[in-house]
Amino acid sequence: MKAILTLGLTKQYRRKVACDRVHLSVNEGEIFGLLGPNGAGKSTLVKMLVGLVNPSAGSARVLGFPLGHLGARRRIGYLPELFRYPPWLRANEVLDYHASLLGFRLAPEARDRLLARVGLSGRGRERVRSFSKGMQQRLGLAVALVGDPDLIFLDEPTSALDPLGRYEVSQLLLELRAEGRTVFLNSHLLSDVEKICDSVALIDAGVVKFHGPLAQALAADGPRSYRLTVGRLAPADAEALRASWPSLVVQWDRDAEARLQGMLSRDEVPTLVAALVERGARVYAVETDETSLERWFLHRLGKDRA
Amino acid sequence: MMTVMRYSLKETMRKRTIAAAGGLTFLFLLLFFLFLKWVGPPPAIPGMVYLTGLTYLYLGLFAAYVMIALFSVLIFVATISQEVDDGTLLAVLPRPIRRYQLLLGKWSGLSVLVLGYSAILYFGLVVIDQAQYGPIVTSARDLFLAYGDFLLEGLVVAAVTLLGSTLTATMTNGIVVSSAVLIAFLGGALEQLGALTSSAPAFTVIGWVTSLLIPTDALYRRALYQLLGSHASPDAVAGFGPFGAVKPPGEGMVFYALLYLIGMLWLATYHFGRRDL
Repeated sequence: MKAILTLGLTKQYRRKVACDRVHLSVNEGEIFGLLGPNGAGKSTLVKMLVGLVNPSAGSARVLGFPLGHLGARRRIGYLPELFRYPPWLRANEVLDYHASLLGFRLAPEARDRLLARVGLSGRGRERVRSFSKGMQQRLGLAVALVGDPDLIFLDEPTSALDPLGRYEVSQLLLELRAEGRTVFLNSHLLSDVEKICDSVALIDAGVVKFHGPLAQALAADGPRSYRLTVGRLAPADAEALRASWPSLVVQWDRDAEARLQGMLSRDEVPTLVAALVERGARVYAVETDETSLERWFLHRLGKDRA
Repeated sequence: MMTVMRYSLKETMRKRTIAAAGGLTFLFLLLFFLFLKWVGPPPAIPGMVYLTGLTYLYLGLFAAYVMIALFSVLIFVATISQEVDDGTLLAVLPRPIRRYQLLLGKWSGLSVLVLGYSAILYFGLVVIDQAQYGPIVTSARDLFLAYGDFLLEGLVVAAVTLLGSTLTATMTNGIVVSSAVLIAFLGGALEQLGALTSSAPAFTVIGWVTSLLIPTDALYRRALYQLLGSHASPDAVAGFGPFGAVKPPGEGMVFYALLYLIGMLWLATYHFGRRDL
């Protein structure tokens, strides 16, 4: 069953079309990544799905319910991109408030578990005003999980987090998927998306440019820049390799290690490494500045805009 | 709705709104008490004590009228607009709660404060004045009917401010509603002057128009009239000029104010329900 199904969902603000006939489907139990540049219409789409923005045209079903239906809203969690909880409330009270809105009372143990899950153990009695931005974002995640939702919308959930926080959130999302929940992730951090998402959609200027499994997006990946750190490479061998891979640039450093840099396709990398090893060289590192998804993202947007 | 109401009240307590408003109200009543003490008793002329007590009560009630309106504006002015700006509502509204429930929950919660504030202010003034000058208001019924008008004034301002909070920015809303209350008072004052001089019927029209725009002044005049009931001396009331109630609004104005209040709340829920956040 589809957790989300949109049919021509459109939002127009006067002359500006924020979302233009968006057709999307998200399977239950998957992590779905919504990608796109700033102002592409990602947040508008999420807001339409959670009932904050009224669509101008089209329709959608969330967990089988029409948009804005209370039945769906009982089973979703949402972390907005730009938000603030009332600073005068304690973290525990924020969770209690949201539980009350869902119509139940949150047991203290359940509250503690939620806070522990987002790395805020023992902070429940502290006022929100004393929380850093990152801690507020963690609290926002805990709020999104109140009521054990089947579908969780996360709009830039790691934008205020440090690398450790980002890692923890990634792990949390994987846990949620393992529990059978669906996660709708809107994020600019493509490296995170690449690690955890099952399927993605790319939206630009309100139009969906790609929608499908992540593997399908990565399979369409073109050549990108790789760097290799190599030892015991003879200059003559380097020249021979350059004949096969003309984009390769070779730089020698003081301890006779060579740095090779060039545009290679994914399949060319092991071939090049094998060729180096065959010539007696030692390959210490193969690196790239871009993740596959980043490359794909830039490539797709660049191509479409051109 | 009850959850939102409870948390709205909790917010005012946490932000020390109640403590601040209570403290300043107590200070105001204390100053009123000291003022009456220092002014001292009037000359021993028949009817003079009553007239003096009435004058100071009217003076106090004019201050109460302004303070209740201001209190309602200040407590409601940021209700929705600030929470939209902060993003607080973004996390709340996807929950299974209708927008009108959220709005009415907030209005109900904060209206409890308006009720308490106006009661303390109004009854405090009456008690202090009567303690100094003896019985001015002799009927409990009149006393409570007048309080009803003051309360309704506060609730009307609250409803208009809530509507403004769904439509515009916090500061704009505060300026517009405060100005509207002031304009209503000036319109009402002109109407009273018109009734006293009988020379300019246009004054009456202005009073009517401003009362229809926002019936706060009409409710205030009616409260002054209700307070004295059948004991009011026309000459005495006329002596207050634009601050008096020589031409008080009838019961129809109370019904209009109630309809106005419901209309404002309906407009607020209608607009907020359709708004993109």
